[in-house]
Amino acid sequence: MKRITFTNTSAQKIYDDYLKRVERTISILAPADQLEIMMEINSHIYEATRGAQAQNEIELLIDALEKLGAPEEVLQPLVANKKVLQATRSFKPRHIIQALYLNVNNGIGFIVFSIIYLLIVVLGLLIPLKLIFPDRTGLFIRNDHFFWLRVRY
Amino acid sequence: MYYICAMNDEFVQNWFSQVKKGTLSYIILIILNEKEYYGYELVQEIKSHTAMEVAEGTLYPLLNRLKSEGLVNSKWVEQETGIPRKYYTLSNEGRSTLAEMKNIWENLGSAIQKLEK
Repeated sequence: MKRITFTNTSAQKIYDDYLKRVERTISILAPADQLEIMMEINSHIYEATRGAQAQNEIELLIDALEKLGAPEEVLQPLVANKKVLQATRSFKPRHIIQALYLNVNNGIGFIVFSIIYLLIVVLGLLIPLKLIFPDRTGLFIRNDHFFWLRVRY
Repeated sequence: MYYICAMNDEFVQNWFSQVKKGTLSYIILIILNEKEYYGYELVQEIKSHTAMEVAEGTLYPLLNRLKSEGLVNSKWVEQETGIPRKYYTLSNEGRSTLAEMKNIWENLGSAIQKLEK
């Protein structure tokens, strides 16, 4: 990605710092998604500051970045959405857990899905354990106490 | 005896903010129905039509959602400056979705007008 070059050194530093914040915010995403977002933000900043002169460069840049908003806040829904898409494509547990963590605030649906996914993971672990240790895995009733979904030592 | 009741400004502002938030996708589809726009240009167009006081950065996640829903297409177009522009267009699904949304909006409008009479 071609970065923007500013005449004013302070403007250059402000721009570099903002892009670093964007990079940090989206670092959890797949490299292709990261590049897409960086290019989009970079293009927005370039168009907003295009035609700026050395004397008003910094003002235009600060105004553009203020209007864009803090990357940590405004890009959160984008990161959450792209993580879900990545998780549904790869179906890797790490991606699914990250997607659930990022989206758990987005509604009851994700909370329900989190519980279902947790149950799938637990059952997935218990099935081989039951086959290997049939006497020690499962639901047991002893002395009026019962233990469920656990491995008995 | 007459009572002067002050308008609940906070309630109205919250309601208006919810209306704007709820209609933003519809507004974006209407704008894109005219022609294709690149990211920055589209954001400015949305802002000029909605008098929104939200961070411009929040519109990109929304555009991305519309894209993942299949309503909007996007493509990068190289520029002489070396910094490409991402152009957004309405997909065929977006066009038919917009037609349905217009239908719902008109029905809602006429239902409210009937109630107000």
